[in-house]
Amino acid sequence: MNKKIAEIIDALAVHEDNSSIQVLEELGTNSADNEIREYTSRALVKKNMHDSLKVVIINQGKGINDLSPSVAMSTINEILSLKDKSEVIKILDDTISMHSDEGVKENARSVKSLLALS
Amino acid sequence: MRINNVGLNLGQTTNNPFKTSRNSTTNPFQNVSFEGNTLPYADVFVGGIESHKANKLKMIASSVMGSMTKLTSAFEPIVNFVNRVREGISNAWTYATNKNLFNLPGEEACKKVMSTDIVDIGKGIAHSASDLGKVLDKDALEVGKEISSKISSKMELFGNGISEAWSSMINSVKISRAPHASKEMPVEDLKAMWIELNAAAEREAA
Repeated sequence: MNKKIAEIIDALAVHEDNSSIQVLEELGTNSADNEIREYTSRALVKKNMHDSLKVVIINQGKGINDLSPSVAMSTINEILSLKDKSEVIKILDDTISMHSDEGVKENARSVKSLLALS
Repeated sequence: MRINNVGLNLGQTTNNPFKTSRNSTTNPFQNVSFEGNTLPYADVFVGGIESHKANKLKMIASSVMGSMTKLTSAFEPIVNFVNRVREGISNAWTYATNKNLFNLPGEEACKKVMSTDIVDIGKGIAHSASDLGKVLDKDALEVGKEISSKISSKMELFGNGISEAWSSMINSVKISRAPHASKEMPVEDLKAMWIELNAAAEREAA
């Protein structure tokens, strides 16, 4: 992955402006490069915000629902490594109860199980 | 038979018509009659011996005069020959001057060329040159347009290539000289840098 892009993602990950989440979703999670998608998903999890965690949990093909196992597993590991897991558990519960896609629900249920075991 | 032999024989057998009989032993007046051609007053000389000599001279003079009148008939063929030659020369000259020398194959073409005014020939050449120039000019114009369009298209592609290469180089310089991305930078600037990096990656891949 390009070093410059990694720096930009890192800067956006710690940026206080909420618009940084939109930039990460638009340019990172939609990238064709698996490394960029993986790095972006981890950055969104690190932000540990409602909007950033929602991007990697409830959207099909992004974060834990990514078609690339490496991207999905990296995102799950980053979620498991969070110190404050309250926001992510809340989103996982909302997803398991209200999301229309069964695949997304199943993935959210699996992550919640892993959180309970960790 | 060889020609040299023929010439030799002819020279030996042909008599020269102009050859005088001065050296000849025969008398040319041998068969000429002097009757009625004596000089008047030929007998005025009288005397013995002198009269006898005078008579002899008279006889010779009379014979010469008589022979002159008689010899006109002998010279007649020569005169006719000369007249014939002269007439022949005159006729030949008349023939040469009146004869149309262009009664030959291609006569009409020769007549046409020779009878055409030099100004008309010049006009014809100028007209032909003008037509040729028009054709060449037209073809050259079309060829020039075609070459121009091809060069233009090539230059356009070349220009596009140069433009793309130039912008790529400028962006590379911008990226290399750009400050490190940090959280202090506006999000829009970070987004612009990311977009630019993606575009540069696509150009490199292309």
